[in-house]
Amino acid sequence: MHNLKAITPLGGTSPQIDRFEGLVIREVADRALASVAARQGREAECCSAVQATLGLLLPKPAKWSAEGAYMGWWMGVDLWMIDADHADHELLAANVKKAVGLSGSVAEQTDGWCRFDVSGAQVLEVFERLCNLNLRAGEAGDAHRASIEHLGCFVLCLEAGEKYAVVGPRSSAGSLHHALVTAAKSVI
Amino acid sequence: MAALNDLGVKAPLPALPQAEDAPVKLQAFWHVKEGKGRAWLDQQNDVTVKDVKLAHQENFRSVEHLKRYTTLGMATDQGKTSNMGGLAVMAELVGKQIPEVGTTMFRPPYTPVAMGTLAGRSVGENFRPTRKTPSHKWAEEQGATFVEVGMWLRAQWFPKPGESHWRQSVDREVLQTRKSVGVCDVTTLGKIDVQGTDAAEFLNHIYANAFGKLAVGKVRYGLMLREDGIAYDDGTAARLAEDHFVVTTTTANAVLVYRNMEFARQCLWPDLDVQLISTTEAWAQFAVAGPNSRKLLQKIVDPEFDLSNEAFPFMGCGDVTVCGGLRARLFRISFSGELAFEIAVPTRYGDGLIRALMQAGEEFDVVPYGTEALGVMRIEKGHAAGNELNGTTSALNLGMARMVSKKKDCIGNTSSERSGMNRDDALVLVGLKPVNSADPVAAGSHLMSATSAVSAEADQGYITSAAYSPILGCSIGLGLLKDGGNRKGEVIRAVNPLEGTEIQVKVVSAHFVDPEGERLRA
Repeated sequence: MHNLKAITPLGGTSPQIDRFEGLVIREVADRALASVAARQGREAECCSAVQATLGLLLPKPAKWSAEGAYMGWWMGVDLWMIDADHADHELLAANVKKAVGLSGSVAEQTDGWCRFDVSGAQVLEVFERLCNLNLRAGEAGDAHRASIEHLGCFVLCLEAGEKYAVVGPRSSAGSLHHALVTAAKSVI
Repeated sequence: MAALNDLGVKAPLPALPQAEDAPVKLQAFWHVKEGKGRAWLDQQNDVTVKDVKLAHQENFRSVEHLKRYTTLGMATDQGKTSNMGGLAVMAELVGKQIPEVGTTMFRPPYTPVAMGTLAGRSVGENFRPTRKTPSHKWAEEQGATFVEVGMWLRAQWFPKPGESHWRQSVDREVLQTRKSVGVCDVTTLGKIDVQGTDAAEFLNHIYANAFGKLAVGKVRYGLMLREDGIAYDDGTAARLAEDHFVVTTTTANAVLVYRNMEFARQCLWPDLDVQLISTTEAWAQFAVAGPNSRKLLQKIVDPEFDLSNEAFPFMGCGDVTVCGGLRARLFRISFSGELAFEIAVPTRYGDGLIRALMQAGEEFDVVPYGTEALGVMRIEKGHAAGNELNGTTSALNLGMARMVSKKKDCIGNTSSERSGMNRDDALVLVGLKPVNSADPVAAGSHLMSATSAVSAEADQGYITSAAYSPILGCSIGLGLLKDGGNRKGEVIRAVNPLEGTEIQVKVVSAHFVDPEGERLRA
């Protein structure tokens, strides 16, 4: 077992939690991520391979799906992100590559991203300040790209009107966190 | 009347009008048809009834055309005061009911909101996002001075107690790295993961030089050209497997190169089986450079990996593990010109890795170095960087003409063969050393022959990069000189008319330090 200690995207030894009246912003640092892009002419084969080995049915555009330990969201044409618990699946990318073989191109994405789960009664009002997504019209299972304070992020609806995951670039975690907290303070 | 009575005020009861019992028939009254005066509809954009009639006459009758032809409803009120009137006039003209004419989209917000709801939160430091490297926290603890490189904050130098001027820190970092070993966070350079059956062929189209036959486990320097043949980025491509490369870019151009490569993938060669994704952020990467770099890395990389020169030669690469089993990637590449490697681990462990490198490096007096020392060393080595890839230079100008392969097509190679870009007296990259070693070389100086007048007509080129070299004990420069390849040894002048100075410089090889590359290949 290696002896290097990990730090969270915000630079802490444990994830940051910010609490407000009707809102909680929670840094999520314990997810492993791997991108999978289907290779040309082998798109169906790639998706079947993922389903057969991970049990996960890769979702349609602008959606996320989950099965057992794995979650996946659509990132682009024939391109998905697969997510699993970091402690149990740190080598997720290698395992996904084993599963798809030459039908897909897989890249480790775990530490390319930071994630903040935003939940509570005030969540929709806060997101109205942050991005132009019409979350009020959305439902659990939605996965959209949005620009939040000039950062390209994914916004996943975990529970409609109640809980959303914001996935943004890791190096800008501080800036993204600042945007979320400032929007929260603007509303609450 | 009763109230007035209470106040003791006498007043006669006036004659009160009697309401008729006639039926009421309210009708809409949209505009005054009589008279010659303008009948305003939109008072923000000055749209009148006459404008709507003209729109109708010109056949711009749909509500969307009406809006754009007249600009009715396009001002800040988004038609709140004008739309109804405008639609009513058009409805009358086309003989429809108002709802049939339709409505257009309003720009939000529909209901006025306070400005503070929309903006004003990104102020000061937060005006735009900041990107921090994996070693940022550690570098802050060391008291590093930071510099903005785009949105990134990078350590520029690491002052030690007692150092009061940046030159003291930078000179020390350069000297110590070249004497023993230095470590620099190079995470900010773009990393693009390129995979697929046709990955190598795709890279052949993107790079001026060839990558088709690059062996697995090898890295190659690559130059990318714009469509007009001008060099726009350089970096390396490491072949991790037959169908898997990691392409690096300069920090400044990471996003641009990724965007251009994705455009090429989707639009220029859509039939190639190749997939791209950015991994710049996902991996923390450190340059470990200097004569003791291998010894330092041997303490970090797990013992089953052989880092000897035979097993891991210059420009090799591969997957390794560090610190007892953590997955890592090792690249034997050098920007400084020293024996050097770059080691990458998943970003969450970058902080742990820099601390481990510093601790393991204590016996070698390891020094952390920042972007200034990085810059001095690459100038000493003669590596082109952003100052040389300045949007006007071709491979020929950079002294890399032979890198543009004639055996395969790539973006920009045809344009790069235009005669105007291949003149005999074309600018070519050279090194410049002051004749008087105390003279400072100033970047931006123009080069004149030893005796000519100082004029635009006599201009021989200009200095692109300059630095004080603690190794050579003098200022040095890199510059573009007409027919520079054939003028080594010539003494010319570097003139700075802006400040009224000029110095004599000798044209030398751009590779000031270790020109034979012995250190690189140690």
